Order: sequence, then C-alpha cells, then structure tokens
Amino acid sequence: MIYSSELIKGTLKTIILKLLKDNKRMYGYEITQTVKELTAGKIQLTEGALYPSLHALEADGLLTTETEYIGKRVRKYYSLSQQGKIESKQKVNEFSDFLNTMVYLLDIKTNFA
Amino acid sequence: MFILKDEHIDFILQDIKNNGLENQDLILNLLDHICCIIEEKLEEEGNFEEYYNSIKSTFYHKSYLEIEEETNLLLTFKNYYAMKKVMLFSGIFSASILSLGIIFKFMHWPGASIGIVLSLGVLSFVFLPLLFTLRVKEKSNTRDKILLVAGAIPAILMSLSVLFKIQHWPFANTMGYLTILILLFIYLPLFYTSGIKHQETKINTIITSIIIIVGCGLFLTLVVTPKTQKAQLVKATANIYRSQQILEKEKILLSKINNSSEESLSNNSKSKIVFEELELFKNKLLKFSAGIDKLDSAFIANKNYLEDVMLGDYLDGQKEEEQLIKLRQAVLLYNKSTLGNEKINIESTFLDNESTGFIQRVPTAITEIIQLQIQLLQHQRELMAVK
Repeated sequence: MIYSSELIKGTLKTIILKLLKDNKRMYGYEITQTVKELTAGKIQLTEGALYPSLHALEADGLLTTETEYIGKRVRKYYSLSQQGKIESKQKVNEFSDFLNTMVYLLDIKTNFA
Repeated sequence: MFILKDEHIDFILQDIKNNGLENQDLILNLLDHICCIIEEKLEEEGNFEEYYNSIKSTFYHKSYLEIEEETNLLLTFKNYYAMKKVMLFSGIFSASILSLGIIFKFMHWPGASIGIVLSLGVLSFVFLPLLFTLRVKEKSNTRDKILLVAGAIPAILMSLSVLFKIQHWPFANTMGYLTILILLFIYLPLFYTSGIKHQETKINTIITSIIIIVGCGLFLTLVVTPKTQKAQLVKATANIYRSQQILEKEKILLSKINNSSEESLSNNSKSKIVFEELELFKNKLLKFSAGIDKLDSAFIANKNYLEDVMLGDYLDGQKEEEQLIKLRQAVLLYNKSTLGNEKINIESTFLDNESTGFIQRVPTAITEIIQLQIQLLQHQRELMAVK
C-alpha cells in the first residue's frame, strides 16, 4: 500500500528534517531513495512536493546548502542549520504526540502496545 | 548503468527551461535529480530520449512549471506570516505610541512630538502599506484590488498630511485636499457601485458612504479656506506695517528732541547696540518670510504678504540659531545693565525662552521686535524729556 499524498503532505517537512538529522548532508534524489528504502516503498516522495519543501525550509533558515559540481551538473547538498536541529526535534516530538492523539481519537488497536 | 554525456545534460536542461522555469536553484536540483534516475535505472544500451520522456511525466501533472509555482507559493506563504506579524506589531506600536504622544502633548511633557512623529511615520510607511499589500493578496478579483488601492492611497496620504502639518513640512495642505478628492471622487463611487449590487451588503454600503461624506464634510468645515488664509495674511502684514510706521514716527520724534537729524540713539550706546541687533534680525526675518529688505508702503501696494512660516524653519541652520542666541544675550545684557524703567519687556516673546523660540511664527516675532524697538526709543525719549 502506498500512502496518499494528503497524508504525506503534512509530514513532509518532519521527514526531511529527521532524515537530515540522521544523515548530516543529503541531496534531493538521495532523500527520495532513502525514504523509499526505509519504508519499503510505502512512502514515495514526489519531486513536485520535495523540492518546494526543501526551498521553503531553506528560506526559513532551517537548512544550509553546499553545491558540488559533477561534470556539467550541479548537486545541491542540504544539511540542518543550528535552528534546523532544534526544529527537527520539535517536529518529531509534535508528530509523536499527534500520533498518540490519533491512536486515541480513531480508537486504533495498536499491535505495539 | 547509463553514462550521461554533456549533450544529454544539455538536452534535459533545455527541456526544463523550455517549460518556463526561472528559479535557477530549482532548475539545477531537478536536473541533478533526473540525471540520477537515468544513471541508475537506464541500462547502458538504453534509449536516452525515450526513457527521459517516460520518466519526466512522473514529475508533474501538466508541466515542470507546477513545481516552481508550488515553491513560490510556499515561499510567499512564509512571507505572508512574517508580514502579518510585522503588520500587527507595527499597528499596535503606532496606536500606543500615538496615544502616549497625545497625552504627553496635552500635559506638555517632553518627548511628545517624537512619539507622534514616530507613530505617524510607522503608520504611514509600515502598517498601512503592509495592511493593503496583504489584503490585495487575499482578494482574487481585479475590482476588489482596485478598490483597495483606491482606499490605501487616501489613507496613507491622510496620515502623512497630518504628520507634515504638525512638522510644518511643505505640501501638508495639498496632501490633505488630495485625500478628500480621492476619497470622494474615486474611492466612494467605486465602493458604492460595488457594494450596492448585493442585497447583503446594501445597507452597510449606504451607511459607510454616508459616514465618508459626513467625515469629509466635517474635515472641510474645520479647514481654514484659502480665502480666509489670505485675509489673515493681509491683516497680519498690515498689522506689522502699522507697527513699523509707529516705530518710524518714534524715531523722528526722538531725533527732533535730540536736535540731531541723523542718529536718534547716538547718545546712548547701550540701547543703540540692542536696537541695531534687533533691526538686523528683523530684516533677516523679513527677507526670509517675504523676500524683501524693507517693509514699506510699496510692499503693501504690490499686494505682497508675509508668509506665515515658523521661526524654527528660519533657525534650521547653525548660523541662524547662533544669531538668535546672540540677539537674546544682547537683550538680556541690556536689561541687566539698565535701571528698572529703562528695561524692555520681553515676557512671552520669542526671546523669552531659548527653547520656545523655535515654535513661534515669524510674523509674530517681527511684531515683537518692532515693539521692543519702540520701547527702546520711548525710554530714550523719556530720558530726554526728564533732562
């Protein structure tokens, strides 16, 4: 089952921030591939959602970037800024809290409880 | 694994650019991303163009441009919140500082004008422009946008006009009249015609229109009309000219007693020094407010009038301020060195207090100078009479 894009939209920033926290620096394609591997293909980030979010996070000052030339191409690596590290923690905590609330709200019988 | 050649990369880059993308960062990101996919997924002997065309459609619904539009949307959305915060903060700031400034003004505490100027400045240049930019963004149809702009201009003009008025800067009145004109003849018709059509906004539209008309009417009732203003200037100028005539007569009388036709004050150097200092300053003020060297009948006959300017405007420069200080010291020195009945009375004149000199009007200051000069001559005449 691949999750709907509505579900992913609200958590995309959290996913990006957490991945960058664990991997120091990544480029766009790498992020999509890592997410795909980690979720066994259940979450497939689209380019149309990923890059706008990356640019917005950069504009917010949460990400810093460095570019590397690969032949004729330019690869842009993203990593967390100091503020991004704090935000990453907050986002994950917020989502975890949200998850608990949803479990309670939707009355989901969790198999890890 | 497929090895991408330079021409492949150029081909992709051109294809992305052909879709109208402008954000360089985004273009390069997408280019690298596509290259990564091709390098990883396409076999060594695969058909580049065919594969590229098959994967590129997974990036969008209609074209690459969607990604840039989404990016811009996210970026503006971020600004939107920052702008909204700044707008609210600047609004609260100017409202509270303005209220404080008004209280200070009525209590005659120092700092009132700084508060008023600062708050009106923030209101005109930060709060109102932001408010209208944000509102314009929220509206989708052109008519609403035009209506907002037609409302924004008079609002900013009105606030600036009050700011300029209290600071005695030029064009304050022009901006005030312009506000009324735009409000009544551009904003009001637009507002009325767009609101009256819909049943649910009909009553509010009529009420607001009435308030706008009555508000403008009240404003214009308070305003001194140009004709009255002119009449006041004529009166003030005639008043000064009359005082000057009395002064001239006083000079003649004194010189008659003195039996010397030339120097009426020659026998008393102390009063002569002050008299000359006053004369010098008076002439400079005349030059500044009317552009003339001497106030005489020709001046009046030519229908020239003294402008109702502030002394502070004249005293803007370092040199002018020094002149005022020098004059004041000369007058104080004279009063200190003379007996009671020879002193000249500077109470409540522009020379009374060093700091309040700036907020006096030039015509008033000229009248005061002439009166002081008459007093000097009269004291002198009294001395002569006693002899």
